[in-house]
Amino acid sequence: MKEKINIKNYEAWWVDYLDGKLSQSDEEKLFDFLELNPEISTTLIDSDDYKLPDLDVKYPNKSILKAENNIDYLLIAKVENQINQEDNLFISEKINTKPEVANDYKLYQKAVATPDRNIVFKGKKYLKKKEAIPLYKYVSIAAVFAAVFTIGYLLTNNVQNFDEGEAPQISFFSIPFNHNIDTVNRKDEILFRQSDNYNNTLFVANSTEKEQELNNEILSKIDVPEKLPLNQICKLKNHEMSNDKQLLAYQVSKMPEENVAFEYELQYIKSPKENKFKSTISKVYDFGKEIDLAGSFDRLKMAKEDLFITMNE
Amino acid sequence: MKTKEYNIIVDKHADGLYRFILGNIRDEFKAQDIVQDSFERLWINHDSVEFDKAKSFLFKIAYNRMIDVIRHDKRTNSQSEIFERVDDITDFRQAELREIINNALTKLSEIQRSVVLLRDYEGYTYEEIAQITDLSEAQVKVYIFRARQHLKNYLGKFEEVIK
Repeated sequence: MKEKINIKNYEAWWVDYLDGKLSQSDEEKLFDFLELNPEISTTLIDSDDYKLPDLDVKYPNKSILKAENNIDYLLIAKVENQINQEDNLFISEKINTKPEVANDYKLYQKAVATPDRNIVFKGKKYLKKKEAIPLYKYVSIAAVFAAVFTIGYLLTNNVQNFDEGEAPQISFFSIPFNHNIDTVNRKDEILFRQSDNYNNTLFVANSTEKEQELNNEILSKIDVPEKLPLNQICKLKNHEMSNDKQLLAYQVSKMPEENVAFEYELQYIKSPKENKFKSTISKVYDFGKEIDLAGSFDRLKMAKEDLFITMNE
Repeated sequence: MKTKEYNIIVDKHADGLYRFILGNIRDEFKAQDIVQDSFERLWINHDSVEFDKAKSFLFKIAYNRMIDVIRHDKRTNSQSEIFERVDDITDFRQAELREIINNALTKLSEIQRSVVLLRDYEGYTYEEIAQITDLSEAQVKVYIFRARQHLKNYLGKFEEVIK
């Protein structure tokens, strides 16, 4: 609601009146007020009084605003490929007819910084981050279990030299052969399986989309506070595995070459006295047709080193 | 952005970023530090930065970091030494065009140099440059216009060489 007209605000009412913003009733109030205060009405100016006179003044330097005098701007716009068609026609004509404009245009074309591609950042490899370990894409569950069982058997014979009182122990263990292969292969999801013997969990992902998620899941659960004794993880000798090699070869021979895979589970016990499993890590390798366990273990060791470096970073 | 994508960004843009910073401050070690710091920041934020925005994010971080370094150097007076070293080149007849342009770049103001390098080295649009440098698009255009004029006038002195 408009404030009641008084001696302090009558000018605002008057301006509104001149601007045609007053309602009929407000106009009546305004003129009633002016009639009651005739000395005020003489001080008010009418709308005709405050109209600005027409000025017959021209901008004196209009000529310098014309395109003719903005050659540099247009040349740069052309070099920058930011020129419209009309300006482009204009400046192109100038370039073709005026040598000094053509020369400037040539200079502008050259005045573009080009990177020296021989300069490279040499520390790129140090900038990169290790990707989470992929599980598997095309895995043969049978080969996986066979391999795990074999390795578990082999390594079990090699961890007995550890100092059972204090030293951490690393060993592989077999996984009960009770997984439903069809289920694993069909379902596009992460399956968590509980192992009966070791109160441990086997993580299985059967799609590439789930690999990252699964690895994050696994890595987030890992709680390895100390560096593992890598030199004690794998102590296999070639001659100890000849029979097992046959076993693997037999299992694998039924699989397409590119699908041959191998998976291990690492069981880390901080101290036998605590009898507490600290982590389970899954890893898969594609080998090709022949499985060389000795070579495989080298790769296994490298993978573990990578993993532990990642975890300790 | 996933780790794999982050590594792709390293492969694709580490060199370009390095050249951009080096083009601005002409100090290999500082440029390497800035690149390293910038990628570290990108990595820290990689979960929240989308892959297609990563390059702009990276250049913005690097640009701001570079400005900090330049300001610090100005306080310690080492910046002038860097540029004076470039001015030592006297025999321009033997210099290649790139070297002349590089010299010309050192004559520009910091902001002019940055916007021109972002434009020429990386092909950024005015809008993208504005985002990286926290300028308005109009300001970017003005800086590029002035920079081009300076570069052209500088090149004009060596017209015989660059013909």
